[in-house]
Parts: sequence; structure tokens; C-alpha cells
Amino acid sequence: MRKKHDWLRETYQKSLEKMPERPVAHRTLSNIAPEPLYTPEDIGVLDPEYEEKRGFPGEYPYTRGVYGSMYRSKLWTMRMFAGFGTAEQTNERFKKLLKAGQTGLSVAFDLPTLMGYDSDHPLSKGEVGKCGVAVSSLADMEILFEGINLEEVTTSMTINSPANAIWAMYLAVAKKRGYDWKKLGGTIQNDILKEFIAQKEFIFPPEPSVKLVIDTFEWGPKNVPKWNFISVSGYHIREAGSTAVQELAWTLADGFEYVEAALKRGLDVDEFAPRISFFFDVHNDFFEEIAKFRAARRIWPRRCATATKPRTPRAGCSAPTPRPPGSPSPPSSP
Amino acid sequence: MLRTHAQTAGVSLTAQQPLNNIARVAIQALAAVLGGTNSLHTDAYDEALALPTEESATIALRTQQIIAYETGVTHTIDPLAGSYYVEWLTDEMERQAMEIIEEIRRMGGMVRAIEEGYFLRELAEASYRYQQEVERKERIIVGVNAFTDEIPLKVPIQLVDPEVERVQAERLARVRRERDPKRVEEALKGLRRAAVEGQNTMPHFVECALAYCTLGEMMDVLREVYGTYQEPAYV
Repeated sequence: MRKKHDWLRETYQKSLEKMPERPVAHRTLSNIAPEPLYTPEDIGVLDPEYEEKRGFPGEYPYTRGVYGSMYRSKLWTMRMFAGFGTAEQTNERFKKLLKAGQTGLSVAFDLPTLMGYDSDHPLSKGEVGKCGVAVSSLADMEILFEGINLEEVTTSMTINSPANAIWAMYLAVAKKRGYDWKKLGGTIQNDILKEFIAQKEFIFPPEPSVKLVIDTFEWGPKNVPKWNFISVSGYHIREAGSTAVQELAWTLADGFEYVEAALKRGLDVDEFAPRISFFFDVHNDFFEEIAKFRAARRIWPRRCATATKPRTPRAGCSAPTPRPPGSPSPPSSP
Repeated sequence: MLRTHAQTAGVSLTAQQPLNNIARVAIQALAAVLGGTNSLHTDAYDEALALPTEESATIALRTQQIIAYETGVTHTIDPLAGSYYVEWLTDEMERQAMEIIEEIRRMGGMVRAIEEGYFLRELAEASYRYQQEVERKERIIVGVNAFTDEIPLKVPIQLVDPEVERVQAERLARVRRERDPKRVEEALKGLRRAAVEGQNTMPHFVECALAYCTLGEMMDVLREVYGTYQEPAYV
């Protein structure tokens, strides 16, 4: 049984080297100083399934968190979804949100943009700028991010069927303004399967739609390595009326489907898998929601490891590990 | 390794007694944090009525900051681990989810399940069951099916400027006038070729964007190559 002491010395320390503890009092209001982690050994109980089911933060199976030091080092990103009207209006809102202490941007697009129509298309009438910002060309995207340092913020864009085009516009803005694509961070939602399941903002049939998604899996890691080219989303499934269990299951099933499609194209799981991100709803049933996040973290690497045979099996769709010279390539299909 | 964003449930916001939504959002946001989310959006209390105002969006952000800086839940990692209930429920949800994942695999995967209307049926059933429970008052929604005395309250509503359509149309016209038509044509041709020949489309999208092709022009190329999708009717 792995000891907490060893985890503190290894994983926790390593995490702190990348990201030190935040300079705030990690003490209760009575001045008790909690340790970074508590395990069965702290209360003198035995938990024979501890390592298999729960493990340690930053370690397989990641039930207790994906990073070694979690919020002790870095709070979650506070990312408020915003967008309405013209690019000028949304740009102004973005700047205000950043000034108020928000740490990442998140763009809401209007319905015509989500459906791939220009603002002056007859079908766009009455919907322009209504549920989000209208972006019809690079000119709009340039205004949307004017005065915002694209290497300093990370930007999430809720866009699906036209995701490739909208991402290309963002990257074009970065290029024109002299930013290094290798330093850009952000996310495009780009999860078309959940559109067919729940939100229904699809344009093309399922097969070419998934093909467009896999184009980003192939192109993304080589050109914009820090970008999450997909956010596999349970949110819309839940909002369409599913239960928490269905949200969990269908979202992960979507994720596995993309992984399989990418493997079929011959892509390297260790290259693309680390940039797959997720997006879940969080509803009223308090403990069920907490359990849902923990279960999702546990299922994904476990099943990924068995389905894809990555070079480091226990990393299971996790961090890339250098391949030892002369070792065989991963199989191209599961 | 599953990194995740979370958003509080828009569908749980009520138009009735809208200020109650501030409490709902706070509790949901706390669940996301205790669940170990890596990123979070909190809904504004007025979102059952309209897009958020600047003020309501700020309150939603402040809610996250209160959880982050005042509650002490960040002192120690995964503080609910080892709770009998939370660990049992985590196992149980994993078990049930794995059953569904296997069921979908047996159906032949997601695309097949979509085409057969599986999700539509399942969603209809789950929503119907929930709505029945609400109507029978087995599930209480504060301010909706119980405690419904409304305190008169004026919520300021964010309105979208009707001028947006005109501003956008003018900008688009200018873009089409001022760009290099030859570069546009070449870029769209390249995108079409990539789509037809099954090559990676991303380099072509970037060239289209730099050439100031409009979103509609790019998507029209793909509509022609791929066709569009209509959902079949299910009974």
C-alpha cells in the first residue's frame, strides 16, 4: 500500500515545482493547518480498495483529482460564458470581466454563427447577436479580441458544427498580431456527437461531421499544442433532460467514440489524448454531482487504457510519455 | 486523465422568484468544486429571463470567488473522499454508467445509436418521469410548486440592441468589398478540394480565414460536398 508520505515526497513535491502553493493561509479560521491530503491512514482505518479505486491526486486512476496539488496551488479557472450583440459590445464585456478577476474567456456565439450562416443571410433575420455574439468573418473576430493578450488569457469557444472555421479565425487573429500559436491556450467545444444526441445544432450528416472533428485531433497537437481541440460535453445532454448517470455514460461514450475514430485514422493516442477535455453540468443533487465528477475521472483512464493500449498503460489517455527507442508503435485500431 | 469544465445547471434556474437562483448556483458551484472541477462557469440569477446583465454576471463570478477564498474548501484536496455515502455513490454511478456504455457498444456505437433514435427515446422517458414527479409534488422546486408567494421584484433585463443586424450587415459588405477576391476564390477552392479528397481541412480553414472568407462561404462549400442532415422522425 502506497504511503501518503511517499505521495507527498514524490507527486505533491513535483506538482509544487511546477506550481507552488498559493500565498494564502491554508489554515482554518481556528488556525488549524490541514495537510494537503487526508487518507485512511490519517484516521487509522484500513481501506483495501484505496489504491485501486481512489488512489492519490495526480495519480492513476485520478479519482481524487488530476493534479498533484489541485487547488492548493491553482484554483479552478473562473470562466464566465459571455457574448451578445456585436463584437464591439462583447469585447467590452470581456474586458470588464477580466478586470473583475475572471481568469479565462468563454465566447457565446449567436444562433446564425452556430449554424454556419452569415449575419446577412435571410435565415439569420431576428437572431443576429441575440443569444451570443455574431461572428461572420475575421473582421468580427479581430474586434472581439482587440486589446486582449492572447498569450495571457485562455479562450474557450462554444462552437460545434462550424468549429474548424471559427478556430481558424481565432488563430488567424493571433497570427496577424504576431502571437506564437505554440503559446496559445484555449478550447473549442467541437463535440458534434452531443449535438445529434441533445442540442441539435448540426449541419452535416454524422459521418463527415466526425471527420471534421478528427481533422482537429490530427492538426491540433502539431500546430497549437496547448489547445484543447475538443470539450466532450455532457452539459447539453443533461439540459435536454437526461439523468446524471446518463450524462456521465453518454459523454464518456462520446469520448471513446472520438478516440476510436482517431485511432482508425492512424493517429497516435499519446499525442492527441492529453488535449481531450470535458464539460459537465452541475445540478441540484449535491452529492450525486460530486460523485459524478469523481466517477468520470475514474472511468476515463481505466477504459481508455484497455481500449487503446497507450505506451504507458496506466497513464490511460493521459500525459504523453517519451517512447523508448526501438519500441513498437501503438496499434492503429483498438 | 480527465480534465473538465463545469457549468451550473441552466435548466434548474427558475423564472419565479429569480433571486433564489443565486442560492441554487452557489450550492451547485460548491458541488463542482468539491467534485474537483478544473474550470467553472456560474449562471447568473436572471438567465431564466434573458441574457445576464453586467450586474448579475458579476454576482455569479463573485459567488465563485466566495467559494474559492472564504469557505476553506481549498485547504485540502478532495475533502469528501472517504465519506461512506460519497464513495458508495461514486461506485454506484460508475457501475450504472458502465452498463449504459456497454449497451451502446452492443448497439454498434454512438452513430448507430443516434440513427436508431435511442437517445431521443431515453431523453423523452427521463424528462417525462421528472416532470411527473414535479407535478405530483414528489419533487419540490422552491418558488415553483411550493412556497410560491411572490415578492414583487423588478429584475432589470438585458436587451439586445436591434442595431446589431445593421452593423453586422454593413461590416460584412465592407469585408466583401475590400478583400482580395482572387485569394478568396483560391482559398475556398482549396477547402473544397480537401473536403472532396478527404484530406485534413484545417490548413485550408486557416487560409480561408486569413483571406476574409465569410463563415457562410466556408460552410456553404462543405454543405455542397457533405450534404446537410435532417433528423429522421421517430415514433
